[in-house]
Amino acid sequence: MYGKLKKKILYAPLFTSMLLMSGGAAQSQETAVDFKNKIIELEQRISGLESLKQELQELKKNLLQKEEKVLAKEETLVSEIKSIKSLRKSLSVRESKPRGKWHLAGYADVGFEAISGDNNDSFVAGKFNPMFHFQYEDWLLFEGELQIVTNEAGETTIDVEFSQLDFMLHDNITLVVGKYLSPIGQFQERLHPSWINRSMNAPTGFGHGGVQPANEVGVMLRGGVTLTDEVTFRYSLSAGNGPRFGHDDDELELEGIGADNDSSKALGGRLALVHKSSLELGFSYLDSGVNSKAGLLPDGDMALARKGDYRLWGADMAYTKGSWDIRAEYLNAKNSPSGGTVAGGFEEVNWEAWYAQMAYRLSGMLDNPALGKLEPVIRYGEFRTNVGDELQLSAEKRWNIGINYWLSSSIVVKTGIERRNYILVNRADETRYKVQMAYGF
Amino acid sequence: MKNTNYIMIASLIISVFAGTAAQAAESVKKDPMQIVRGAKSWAQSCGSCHNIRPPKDLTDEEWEVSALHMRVRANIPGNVIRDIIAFLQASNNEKVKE
Ligand code: HEC
Repeated sequence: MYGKLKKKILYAPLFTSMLLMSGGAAQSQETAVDFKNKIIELEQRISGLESLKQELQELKKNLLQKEEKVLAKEETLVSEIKSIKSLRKSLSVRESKPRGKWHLAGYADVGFEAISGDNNDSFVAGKFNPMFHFQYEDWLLFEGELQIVTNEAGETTIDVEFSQLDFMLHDNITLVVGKYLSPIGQFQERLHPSWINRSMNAPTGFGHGGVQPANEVGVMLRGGVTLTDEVTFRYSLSAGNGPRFGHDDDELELEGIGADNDSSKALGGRLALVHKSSLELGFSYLDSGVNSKAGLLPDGDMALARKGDYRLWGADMAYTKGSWDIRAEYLNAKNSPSGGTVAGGFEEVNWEAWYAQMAYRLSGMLDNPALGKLEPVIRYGEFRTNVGDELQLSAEKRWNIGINYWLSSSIVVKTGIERRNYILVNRADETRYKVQMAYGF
Repeated sequence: MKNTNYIMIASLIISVFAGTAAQAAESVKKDPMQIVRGAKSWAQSCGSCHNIRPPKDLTDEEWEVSALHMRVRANIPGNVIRDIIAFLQASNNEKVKE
Protein backbone atom coordinates (compact mmCIF):
# COMPACT_ATOMS: atom_id res chain seq x y z
CA MET A 1 0.00 0.00 0.00
CA TYR A 2 2.73 2.35 1.06
CA GLY A 3 4.77 1.34 -2.05
CA LYS A 4 1.95 2.10 -4.40
CA LEU A 5 1.44 5.53 -2.93
CA LYS A 6 5.15 6.19 -3.26
CA LYS A 7 5.02 5.26 -6.98
CA LYS A 8 2.07 7.57 -7.57
CA ILE A 9 3.87 10.42 -5.89
CA LEU A 10 6.92 9.84 -8.03
CA TYR A 11 4.94 9.61 -11.29
CA ALA A 12 2.77 12.62 -10.57
CA PRO A 13 5.30 15.35 -11.47
CA LEU A 14 6.21 13.38 -14.60
CA PHE A 15 2.67 13.31 -15.93
CA THR A 16 1.94 16.93 -15.08
CA SER A 17 5.06 18.05 -16.85
CA MET A 18 4.10 15.87 -19.82
CA LEU A 19 0.65 17.43 -19.90
CA LEU A 20 2.07 20.90 -19.73
CA MET A 21 4.44 20.20 -22.48
CA SER A 22 1.94 18.50 -24.77
CA GLY A 23 0.30 21.93 -25.00
CA GLY A 24 3.14 23.17 -27.23
CA ALA A 25 2.81 22.28 -30.91
CA ALA A 26 6.44 22.36 -31.79
CA GLN A 27 8.66 20.21 -29.72
CA SER A 28 12.30 19.94 -30.31
CA GLN A 29 14.25 16.71 -30.65
CA GLU A 30 16.36 17.76 -27.63
CA THR A 31 13.47 17.90 -25.23
CA ALA A 32 12.34 14.40 -26.27
CA VAL A 33 15.80 13.08 -25.48
CA ASP A 34 15.75 14.89 -22.17
CA PHE A 35 12.46 13.29 -21.36
CA LYS A 36 13.74 9.87 -22.16
CA ASN A 37 16.77 10.39 -20.00
CA LYS A 38 14.66 11.67 -17.13
CA ILE A 39 12.37 8.67 -17.39
CA ILE A 40 15.35 6.33 -17.33
CA GLU A 41 16.75 8.15 -14.34
CA LEU A 42 13.43 7.95 -12.55
CA GLU A 43 13.08 4.26 -13.35
CA GLN A 44 16.52 3.68 -11.89
CA ARG A 45 15.52 5.50 -8.76
CA ILE A 46 12.37 3.48 -8.51
CA SER A 47 14.22 0.21 -8.79
CA GLY A 48 16.67 1.46 -6.11
CA LEU A 49 13.75 2.16 -3.83
CA GLU A 50 12.34 -1.28 -4.57
CA SER A 51 15.57 -2.94 -3.46
CA LEU A 52 15.62 -0.77 -0.31
CA LYS A 53 12.11 -1.92 0.40
CA GLN A 54 13.18 -5.53 0.06
CA GLU A 55 16.08 -4.95 2.38
CA LEU A 56 13.79 -3.39 4.94
CA GLN A 57 11.44 -6.32 4.74
CA GLU A 58 14.28 -8.74 5.26
CA LEU A 59 15.49 -6.78 8.25
CA LYS A 60 12.01 -6.84 9.69
CA LYS A 61 11.84 -10.58 9.21
CA ASN A 62 15.19 -11.06 10.88
CA LEU A 63 14.09 -8.92 13.79
CA LEU A 64 10.94 -10.93 14.26
CA GLN A 65 12.91 -14.16 14.19
CA LYS A 66 15.32 -12.83 16.76
CA GLU A 67 12.49 -11.67 18.93
CA GLU A 68 11.00 -15.13 18.82
CA LYS A 69 14.32 -16.67 19.77
CA VAL A 70 14.69 -14.28 22.71
CA LEU A 71 11.19 -15.07 23.87
CA ALA A 72 11.89 -18.78 23.71
CA LYS A 73 15.10 -18.30 25.67
CA GLU A 74 13.30 -16.21 28.24
CA GLU A 75 10.76 -18.97 28.70
CA THR A 76 13.41 -21.63 29.25
CA LEU A 77 15.17 -19.34 31.72
CA VAL A 78 11.98 -18.79 33.70
CA SER A 79 11.30 -22.48 33.86
CA GLU A 80 14.90 -23.16 34.86
CA ILE A 81 14.72 -20.61 37.65
CA LYS A 82 11.52 -22.20 38.82
CA SER A 83 13.07 -25.65 38.92
CA ILE A 84 16.15 -24.33 40.78
CA LYS A 85 13.90 -22.69 43.34
CA SER A 86 12.01 -25.90 43.97
CA LEU A 87 15.28 -27.83 44.11
CA ARG A 88 16.62 -25.39 46.71
CA LYS A 89 13.47 -25.83 48.70
CA SER A 90 13.76 -29.59 48.65
CA LEU A 91 17.47 -29.54 49.53
CA SER A 92 17.61 -26.83 52.17
CA VAL A 93 16.75 -27.49 55.81
CA ARG A 94 14.83 -24.72 57.47
CA GLU A 95 16.55 -23.70 60.66
CA SER A 96 13.86 -23.72 63.25
CA LYS A 97 14.07 -22.20 66.72
CA PRO A 98 13.75 -25.01 69.22
CA ARG A 99 11.07 -24.52 71.86
CA GLY A 100 13.33 -25.64 74.65
CA LYS A 101 16.69 -24.28 75.73
CA TRP A 102 18.91 -25.19 78.62
CA HIS A 103 21.87 -23.86 80.51
CA LEU A 104 24.20 -25.51 82.95
CA ALA A 105 25.56 -23.18 85.59
CA GLY A 106 26.55 -23.20 89.23
CA TYR A 107 29.58 -22.60 91.39
CA ALA A 108 32.34 -24.27 93.31
CA ASP A 109 34.81 -23.22 95.95
CA VAL A 110 37.93 -24.59 97.58
CA GLY A 111 39.82 -23.24 100.54
CA PHE A 112 42.05 -23.44 103.54
CA GLU A 113 41.26 -22.54 107.12
CA ALA A 114 43.47 -22.22 110.20
CA ILE A 115 41.72 -21.79 113.53
CA SER A 116 43.38 -20.45 116.68
CA GLY A 117 43.55 -22.67 119.75
CA ASP A 118 43.40 -26.44 119.74
CA ASN A 119 41.77 -26.81 116.37
CA ASN A 120 43.72 -28.14 113.41
CA ASP A 121 44.36 -26.27 110.24
CA SER A 122 42.59 -27.83 107.33
CA PHE A 123 42.05 -27.68 103.66
CA VAL A 124 38.40 -27.16 102.97
CA ALA A 125 37.01 -29.05 100.01
CA GLY A 126 34.30 -26.47 99.88
CA LYS A 127 31.20 -26.82 97.88
CA PHE A 128 30.25 -27.88 94.43
CA ASN A 129 26.84 -26.56 93.48
CA PRO A 130 25.73 -27.54 89.99
CA MET A 131 22.68 -25.69 88.75
CA PHE A 132 20.38 -26.63 85.90
CA HIS A 133 18.09 -24.35 83.94
CA PHE A 134 15.60 -25.59 81.38
CA GLN A 135 13.47 -23.07 79.57
CA TYR A 136 10.36 -23.83 77.54
CA GLU A 137 9.46 -21.04 75.11
CA ASP A 138 9.36 -17.83 77.09
CA TRP A 139 6.89 -18.72 79.81
CA LEU A 140 8.36 -21.64 81.74
CA LEU A 141 11.67 -22.13 83.50
CA PHE A 142 12.85 -25.01 85.62
CA GLU A 143 15.68 -24.20 88.01
CA GLY A 144 17.38 -26.78 90.13
CA GLU A 145 20.51 -26.60 92.26
CA LEU A 146 22.24 -29.32 94.20
CA GLN A 147 24.73 -28.74 96.95
CA ILE A 148 27.46 -31.34 97.15
CA VAL A 149 29.70 -31.02 100.19
CA THR A 150 32.31 -33.18 101.82
CA ASN A 151 31.97 -32.75 105.57
CA GLU A 152 34.53 -32.98 108.35
CA ALA A 153 33.86 -36.71 108.78
CA GLY A 154 34.75 -37.31 105.14
CA GLU A 155 31.18 -37.98 104.07
CA THR A 156 29.76 -36.42 100.98
CA THR A 157 26.29 -35.04 101.32
CA ILE A 158 23.97 -33.95 98.55
CA ASP A 159 21.17 -31.51 99.25
CA VAL A 160 18.60 -30.01 96.98
CA GLU A 161 19.07 -26.27 97.41
CA PHE A 162 16.14 -25.55 95.19
CA SER A 163 14.06 -27.31 92.59
CA GLN A 164 11.35 -25.07 91.26
CA LEU A 165 9.16 -24.30 88.30
CA ASP A 166 8.79 -20.62 87.38
CA PHE A 167 5.77 -19.57 85.33
CA MET A 168 6.06 -16.13 83.72
CA LEU A 169 2.39 -15.18 84.05
CA HIS A 170 2.89 -11.53 83.19
CA ASP A 171 5.78 -9.08 82.77
CA ASN A 172 5.31 -8.18 86.42
CA ILE A 173 4.19 -11.51 87.92
CA THR A 174 6.00 -14.84 88.13
CA LEU A 175 4.53 -17.87 89.87
CA VAL A 176 7.08 -20.13 91.56
CA VAL A 177 6.17 -23.65 92.67
CA GLY A 178 8.42 -26.17 94.40
CA LYS A 179 11.36 -25.91 96.74
CA TYR A 180 12.92 -22.49 96.57
CA LEU A 181 15.42 -20.37 98.47
CA SER A 182 13.70 -18.35 101.15
CA PRO A 183 12.99 -14.85 99.81
CA ILE A 184 13.44 -13.41 103.31
CA GLY A 185 16.20 -10.82 103.56
CA GLN A 186 18.99 -10.27 101.09
CA PHE A 187 21.77 -12.65 102.12
CA GLN A 188 20.10 -16.01 101.77
CA GLU A 189 18.55 -15.64 98.36
CA ARG A 190 21.07 -13.43 96.62
CA LEU A 191 24.42 -13.34 98.32
CA HIS A 192 25.17 -16.80 99.64
CA PRO A 193 26.86 -18.29 96.51
CA SER A 194 30.58 -18.07 97.22
CA TRP A 195 31.39 -16.22 93.97
CA ILE A 196 28.89 -13.52 94.98
CA ASN A 197 29.58 -13.35 98.71
CA ARG A 198 32.32 -10.75 99.24
CA SER A 199 33.31 -12.47 102.46
CA MET A 200 34.07 -16.14 102.99
CA ASN A 201 31.04 -17.30 104.90
CA ALA A 202 27.61 -16.22 105.99
CA PRO A 203 27.39 -13.44 108.56
CA THR A 204 26.80 -14.80 112.04
CA GLY A 205 23.17 -15.76 112.47
CA PHE A 206 22.50 -15.77 108.72
CA GLY A 207 23.76 -19.25 107.94
CA HIS A 208 22.87 -22.69 109.21
CA GLY A 209 21.42 -22.57 112.71
CA GLY A 210 20.67 -18.88 112.41
CA VAL A 211 17.55 -16.76 112.36
CA GLN A 212 16.86 -17.11 108.72
CA PRO A 213 14.91 -19.88 106.99
CA ALA A 214 17.12 -21.31 104.24
CA ASN A 215 14.51 -22.63 101.85
CA GLU A 216 10.81 -23.12 101.65
CA VAL A 217 8.51 -25.62 99.98
CA GLY A 218 5.38 -24.02 98.62
CA VAL A 219 4.23 -21.41 96.16
CA MET A 220 5.47 -17.90 95.64
CA LEU A 221 4.33 -14.93 93.57
CA ARG A 222 7.06 -12.50 92.69
CA GLY A 223 8.02 -9.78 90.27
CA GLY A 224 9.03 -6.21 89.69
CA VAL A 225 7.08 -3.12 88.70
CA THR A 226 8.66 0.04 87.29
CA LEU A 227 7.00 2.78 89.34
CA THR A 228 8.76 5.82 87.91
CA ASP A 229 11.89 6.44 85.85
CA GLU A 230 13.79 6.34 89.11
CA VAL A 231 12.12 3.72 91.27
CA THR A 232 11.29 0.05 90.85
CA PHE A 233 9.18 -1.94 93.27
CA ARG A 234 10.07 -5.58 93.86
CA TYR A 235 8.05 -8.18 95.70
CA SER A 236 8.22 -11.87 96.68
CA LEU A 237 5.21 -13.33 98.49
CA SER A 238 5.45 -16.90 99.65
CA ALA A 239 3.07 -19.46 101.18
CA GLY A 240 4.87 -22.61 102.30
CA ASN A 241 5.14 -25.41 104.79
CA GLY A 242 7.21 -23.25 107.11
CA PRO A 243 9.63 -24.12 109.87
CA ARG A 244 9.42 -27.06 112.25
CA PHE A 245 10.68 -27.71 115.76
CA GLY A 246 14.14 -29.17 115.93
CA HIS A 247 15.76 -31.09 118.75
CA ASP A 248 16.03 -28.16 121.14
CA ASP A 249 13.58 -25.34 121.52
CA ASP A 250 15.97 -22.81 120.06
CA GLU A 251 16.72 -25.05 117.09
CA LEU A 252 14.02 -24.64 114.52
CA GLU A 253 14.39 -26.63 111.36
CA LEU A 254 14.40 -23.87 108.83
CA GLU A 255 15.40 -25.80 105.79
CA GLY A 256 12.41 -26.18 103.49
CA ILE A 257 10.53 -29.23 104.62
CA GLY A 258 8.79 -31.49 102.14
CA ALA A 259 5.61 -32.00 104.16
CA ASP A 260 3.76 -29.81 106.57
CA ASN A 261 3.14 -31.30 109.98
CA ASP A 262 0.56 -28.67 110.74
CA SER A 263 -2.05 -27.12 108.53
CA SER A 264 -0.95 -23.56 109.29
CA LYS A 265 1.06 -22.36 106.36
CA ALA A 266 4.00 -20.00 106.58
CA LEU A 267 3.05 -16.73 104.93
CA GLY A 268 5.65 -14.12 104.22
CA GLY A 269 8.02 -12.52 101.83
CA ARG A 270 9.97 -9.43 101.03
CA LEU A 271 9.03 -6.05 99.59
CA ALA A 272 11.69 -3.70 98.27
CA LEU A 273 12.18 -0.35 96.60
CA VAL A 274 15.14 0.09 94.27
CA HIS A 275 16.29 3.57 93.34
CA LYS A 276 18.26 4.10 90.15
CA SER A 277 21.16 5.44 92.19
CA SER A 278 21.70 1.73 93.09
CA LEU A 279 20.16 2.04 96.53
CA GLU A 280 17.83 -0.75 97.58
CA LEU A 281 15.72 -0.95 100.72
CA GLY A 282 13.89 -4.14 101.64
CA PHE A 283 11.48 -5.28 104.29
CA SER A 284 10.76 -8.93 105.13
CA TYR A 285 8.09 -10.66 107.14
CA LEU A 286 7.17 -14.27 107.91
CA ASP A 287 4.40 -15.69 110.04
CA SER A 288 3.84 -19.35 110.70
CA GLY A 289 2.47 -21.85 113.16
CA VAL A 290 4.90 -24.50 114.41
CA ASN A 291 3.71 -27.67 116.09
CA SER A 292 5.19 -30.93 117.19
CA LYS A 293 3.66 -33.96 118.81
CA ALA A 294 4.97 -35.48 122.04
CA GLY A 295 7.18 -38.45 121.49
CA LEU A 296 10.55 -40.04 121.44
CA LEU A 297 13.22 -38.27 119.40
CA PRO A 298 15.60 -40.35 117.25
CA ASP A 299 18.36 -40.00 119.90
CA GLY A 300 16.12 -41.34 122.64
CA ASP A 301 15.21 -38.01 124.27
CA MET A 302 11.62 -37.36 125.19
CA ALA A 303 9.92 -34.36 123.70
CA LEU A 304 6.69 -32.76 124.85
CA ALA A 305 3.97 -31.64 122.51
CA ARG A 306 4.78 -28.10 121.43
CA LYS A 307 2.66 -25.48 119.74
CA GLY A 308 4.07 -22.14 118.78
CA ASP A 309 3.59 -18.98 116.75
CA TYR A 310 6.67 -18.10 114.78
CA ARG A 311 7.06 -14.54 113.58
CA LEU A 312 10.01 -12.97 111.79
CA TRP A 313 10.65 -9.52 110.48
CA GLY A 314 13.68 -7.96 108.90
CA ALA A 315 15.03 -4.99 107.04
CA ASP A 316 17.91 -4.77 104.60
CA MET A 317 19.72 -2.15 102.55
CA ALA A 318 22.25 -2.23 99.75
CA TYR A 319 24.17 0.47 97.97
CA THR A 320 26.10 -0.89 95.00
CA LYS A 321 27.14 2.04 92.87
CA GLY A 322 30.34 1.68 90.88
CA SER A 323 33.12 0.16 92.95
CA TRP A 324 31.17 0.27 96.20
CA ASP A 325 29.31 -2.64 97.69
CA ILE A 326 27.73 -1.60 100.97
CA ARG A 327 25.13 -3.74 102.69
CA ALA A 328 23.39 -4.06 106.00
CA GLU A 329 20.67 -6.37 107.21
CA TYR A 330 18.71 -7.01 110.37
CA LEU A 331 16.55 -10.03 111.22
CA ASN A 332 14.45 -10.62 114.29
CA ALA A 333 12.46 -13.79 114.93
CA LYS A 334 10.36 -14.97 117.80
CA ASN A 335 8.71 -18.30 118.54
CA SER A 336 6.11 -17.83 121.25
CA PRO A 337 4.18 -20.70 122.80
CA SER A 338 0.55 -20.56 121.69
CA GLY A 339 -1.66 -19.87 124.69
CA GLY A 340 1.27 -19.38 127.09
CA THR A 341 4.24 -21.45 128.17
CA VAL A 342 2.22 -24.23 129.77
CA ALA A 343 -0.18 -24.73 126.87
CA GLY A 344 2.54 -24.24 124.27
CA GLY A 345 4.94 -26.60 125.96
CA PHE A 346 8.08 -24.46 125.70
CA GLU A 347 9.58 -21.14 126.65
CA GLU A 348 9.59 -18.24 124.24
CA VAL A 349 12.64 -18.13 121.96
CA ASN A 350 14.04 -14.95 120.43
CA TRP A 351 16.60 -14.71 117.67
CA GLU A 352 18.27 -11.55 116.53
CA ALA A 353 21.03 -11.04 113.99
CA TRP A 354 22.45 -8.17 112.01
CA TYR A 355 25.51 -7.27 109.98
CA ALA A 356 26.96 -4.36 108.08
CA GLN A 357 29.47 -4.88 105.31
CA MET A 358 31.51 -2.67 103.04
CA ALA A 359 33.66 -3.60 100.06
CA TYR A 360 35.46 -1.35 97.62
CA ARG A 361 37.02 -2.45 94.36
CA LEU A 362 40.27 -0.54 93.86
CA SER A 363 39.69 -0.17 90.10
CA GLY A 364 37.46 2.70 91.19
CA MET A 365 40.49 4.80 92.06
CA LEU A 366 43.54 3.09 90.54
CA ASP A 367 44.40 2.74 86.88
CA ASN A 368 46.84 -0.08 87.48
CA PRO A 369 45.07 -3.18 86.09
CA ALA A 370 46.57 -5.59 88.64
CA LEU A 371 45.85 -3.46 91.69
CA GLY A 372 42.41 -2.65 90.29
CA LYS A 373 41.45 -6.30 90.79
CA LEU A 374 41.87 -6.00 94.54
CA GLU A 375 38.90 -5.44 96.79
CA PRO A 376 39.23 -4.85 100.52
CA VAL A 377 36.19 -5.91 102.50
CA ILE A 378 35.12 -5.46 106.10
CA ARG A 379 32.09 -6.89 107.87
CA TYR A 380 30.79 -6.74 111.40
CA GLY A 381 27.86 -8.77 112.69
CA GLU A 382 26.11 -9.84 115.87
CA PHE A 383 23.90 -12.79 116.70
CA ARG A 384 21.89 -13.52 119.82
CA THR A 385 19.48 -16.26 120.76
CA ASN A 386 17.48 -16.12 123.99
CA VAL A 387 15.38 -18.91 125.43
CA GLY A 388 13.17 -17.11 127.90
CA ASP A 389 15.63 -14.60 129.37
CA GLU A 390 18.64 -16.80 128.97
CA LEU A 391 21.24 -15.93 126.38
CA GLN A 392 22.46 -18.97 124.49
CA LEU A 393 26.04 -20.12 123.85
CA SER A 394 25.87 -19.18 120.19
CA ALA A 395 25.65 -15.45 121.01
CA GLU A 396 28.49 -13.84 119.12
CA LYS A 397 30.08 -10.68 117.78
CA ARG A 398 32.05 -11.29 114.61
CA TRP A 399 34.56 -9.28 112.62
CA ASN A 400 35.66 -10.22 109.12
CA ILE A 401 38.42 -8.36 107.37
CA GLY A 402 39.68 -9.50 104.02
CA ILE A 403 41.10 -8.79 100.62
CA ASN A 404 39.63 -10.25 97.46
CA TYR A 405 41.41 -10.59 94.15
CA TRP A 406 39.01 -10.78 91.20
CA LEU A 407 40.38 -12.83 88.29
CA SER A 408 37.18 -12.29 86.34
CA SER A 409 33.70 -11.10 87.16
CA SER A 410 32.90 -14.48 88.71
CA ILE A 411 36.29 -15.94 89.72
CA VAL A 412 37.76 -14.70 92.95
CA VAL A 413 40.49 -15.51 95.45
CA LYS A 414 39.58 -14.30 98.93
CA THR A 415 41.86 -14.05 101.93
CA GLY A 416 40.78 -12.89 105.32
CA ILE A 417 40.78 -13.00 109.07
CA GLU A 418 37.70 -13.72 111.12
CA ARG A 419 37.45 -12.85 114.78
CA ARG A 420 34.64 -14.49 116.75
CA ASN A 421 33.95 -12.93 120.13
CA TYR A 422 31.49 -15.14 121.93
CA ILE A 423 29.39 -13.06 124.26
CA LEU A 424 29.13 -15.63 127.05
CA VAL A 425 32.39 -15.76 128.95
CA ASN A 426 32.42 -19.55 129.20
CA ARG A 427 33.02 -19.90 125.48
CA ALA A 428 36.52 -19.13 124.21
CA ASP A 429 36.95 -16.59 121.43
CA GLU A 430 38.37 -17.71 118.09
CA THR A 431 40.45 -16.26 115.32
CA ARG A 432 40.29 -17.89 111.93
CA TYR A 433 42.63 -17.32 108.98
CA LYS A 434 41.14 -18.22 105.67
CA VAL A 435 41.80 -18.47 101.97
CA GLN A 436 39.07 -19.34 99.52
CA MET A 437 38.84 -19.50 95.78
CA ALA A 438 35.38 -19.41 94.23
CA TYR A 439 34.27 -19.80 90.66
CA GLY A 440 30.75 -19.06 89.43
CA PHE A 441 30.01 -20.53 86.01
CA MET B 1 28.07 8.99 85.38
CA LYS B 2 31.16 8.62 83.20
CA ASN B 3 30.44 4.93 83.08
CA THR B 4 26.84 5.34 81.93
CA ASN B 5 27.84 7.76 79.21
CA TYR B 6 30.40 5.30 77.97
CA ILE B 7 27.84 2.52 77.95
CA MET B 8 25.31 4.69 76.12
CA ILE B 9 27.80 5.55 73.42
CA ALA B 10 29.05 1.99 73.17
CA SER B 11 25.53 0.66 72.86
CA LEU B 12 24.68 3.23 70.20
CA ILE B 13 27.70 2.16 68.19
CA ILE B 14 26.84 -1.46 68.72
CA SER B 15 23.24 -0.91 67.71
CA VAL B 16 24.39 0.71 64.49
CA PHE B 17 26.94 -1.95 63.63
CA ALA B 18 25.34 -5.02 65.10
CA GLY B 19 24.56 -6.79 61.90
CA THR B 20 25.43 -10.40 62.44
CA ALA B 21 22.67 -11.73 64.62
CA ALA B 22 19.62 -12.00 62.45
CA GLN B 23 17.37 -11.89 65.44
CA ALA B 24 19.05 -8.92 67.03
CA ALA B 25 19.07 -7.15 63.69
CA GLU B 26 15.39 -7.84 63.29
CA SER B 27 14.49 -6.47 66.67
CA VAL B 28 16.78 -3.49 66.09
CA LYS B 29 14.80 -2.72 62.97
CA LYS B 30 11.55 -3.02 64.85
CA ASP B 31 12.67 -1.03 67.88
CA PRO B 32 16.00 0.72 67.36
CA MET B 33 16.07 2.08 70.91
CA GLN B 34 15.74 -1.34 72.53
CA ILE B 35 19.48 -1.96 72.71
CA VAL B 36 20.11 1.47 74.18
CA ARG B 37 17.45 0.89 76.84
CA GLY B 38 18.88 -2.59 77.42
CA ALA B 39 22.41 -1.23 77.93
CA LYS B 40 21.15 1.25 80.47
CA SER B 41 19.11 -1.33 82.38
CA TRP B 42 21.99 -3.82 82.28
CA ALA B 43 24.34 -1.24 83.77
CA GLN B 44 21.79 -0.28 86.37
CA SER B 45 20.29 -3.57 87.50
CA CYS B 46 22.74 -6.37 86.71
CA GLY B 47 25.49 -5.38 89.11
CA SER B 48 23.56 -4.96 92.32
CA CYS B 49 24.05 -8.48 93.69
CA HIS B 50 27.16 -9.79 91.94
CA ASN B 51 29.75 -8.23 89.66
CA ILE B 52 28.18 -7.25 86.40
CA ARG B 53 28.56 -10.12 83.93
CA PRO B 54 29.90 -9.00 80.56
CA PRO B 55 28.05 -9.94 77.34
CA LYS B 56 30.85 -12.25 76.22
CA ASP B 57 30.47 -14.50 79.29
CA LEU B 58 27.67 -16.46 77.63
CA THR B 59 26.34 -17.37 74.20
CA ASP B 60 23.18 -15.78 72.80
CA GLU B 61 21.06 -18.75 73.75
CA GLU B 62 22.56 -19.05 77.22
CA TRP B 63 21.80 -15.38 77.82
CA GLU B 64 18.14 -16.03 77.08
CA VAL B 65 17.96 -18.73 79.74
CA SER B 66 20.19 -16.99 82.25
CA ALA B 67 18.43 -13.64 81.91
CA LEU B 68 15.10 -15.36 82.46
CA HIS B 69 16.60 -16.92 85.57
CA MET B 70 17.65 -13.43 86.70
CA ARG B 71 14.21 -12.04 85.90
CA VAL B 72 12.85 -14.44 88.51
CA ARG B 73 15.69 -14.21 91.01
CA ALA B 74 16.00 -10.43 90.96
CA ASN B 75 12.34 -9.52 90.36
CA ILE B 76 13.14 -7.55 87.21
CA PRO B 77 10.11 -6.72 84.99
CA GLY B 78 9.81 -8.84 81.82
CA ASN B 79 10.02 -5.93 79.39
CA VAL B 80 13.26 -4.74 81.01
CA ILE B 81 14.72 -8.25 80.73
CA ARG B 82 13.86 -8.42 77.02
CA ASP B 83 15.72 -5.14 76.48
CA ILE B 84 18.71 -6.48 78.42
CA ILE B 85 18.72 -9.72 76.39
CA ALA B 86 18.68 -7.70 73.14
CA PHE B 87 21.64 -5.65 74.37
CA LEU B 88 23.62 -8.67 75.57
CA GLN B 89 23.04 -10.57 72.33
CA ALA B 90 23.87 -7.60 70.13
CA SER B 91 27.08 -6.93 72.05
CA ASN B 92 27.91 -10.60 72.05
CA ASN B 93 27.81 -10.59 68.27
CA GLU B 94 29.82 -7.50 67.74
CA LYS B 95 32.49 -8.39 65.18
CA VAL B 96 35.72 -6.51 65.49
CA LYS B 97 37.90 -6.36 62.37
CA GLU B 98 41.52 -6.99 63.12
C1 HEC C 1 18.86 -9.91 93.17
C2 HEC C 1 20.25 -10.14 92.92
C3 HEC C 1 20.67 -10.33 91.47
C4 HEC C 1 20.55 -9.45 90.44
C5 HEC C 1 19.94 -8.07 90.47
C6 HEC C 1 21.10 -10.11 89.28
N1 HEC C 1 21.59 -11.34 89.62
FE1 HEC C 1 22.54 -12.62 88.40
N2 HEC C 1 22.67 -13.99 89.90
C7 HEC C 1 22.20 -13.80 91.19
C8 HEC C 1 22.40 -15.00 91.96
C9 HEC C 1 22.03 -15.21 93.41
C10 HEC C 1 23.03 -15.92 91.09
C11 HEC C 1 23.48 -17.33 91.40
C12 HEC C 1 22.38 -18.29 91.27
C13 HEC C 1 22.61 -19.45 92.13
O1 HEC C 1 23.74 -19.92 92.21
O2 HEC C 1 21.65 -19.90 92.73
C14 HEC C 1 23.19 -15.25 89.82
C15 HEC C 1 23.76 -15.82 88.71
C16 HEC C 1 23.98 -15.18 87.51
C17 HEC C 1 24.67 -15.75 86.38
C18 HEC C 1 25.29 -17.13 86.33
C19 HEC C 1 24.44 -18.07 85.56
C20 HEC C 1 23.07 -18.28 86.14
O3 HEC C 1 22.09 -18.10 85.39
O4 HEC C 1 22.96 -18.62 87.31
C21 HEC C 1 24.64 -14.82 85.38
C22 HEC C 1 25.23 -14.96 83.99
C23 HEC C 1 23.92 -13.67 85.88
N3 HEC C 1 23.55 -13.91 87.19
C24 HEC C 1 23.65 -12.52 85.14
C25 HEC C 1 22.84 -11.49 85.60
C26 HEC C 1 22.31 -10.44 84.75
C27 HEC C 1 22.55 -10.31 83.26
C28 HEC C 1 21.58 -9.63 85.55
C29 HEC C 1 20.75 -8.44 85.13
C30 HEC C 1 19.60 -8.73 84.38
C31 HEC C 1 21.67 -10.16 86.90
N4 HEC C 1 22.41 -11.29 86.88
C32 HEC C 1 21.09 -9.56 88.01
C33 HEC C 1 21.64 -12.65 91.70
C34 HEC C 1 21.33 -11.52 90.95
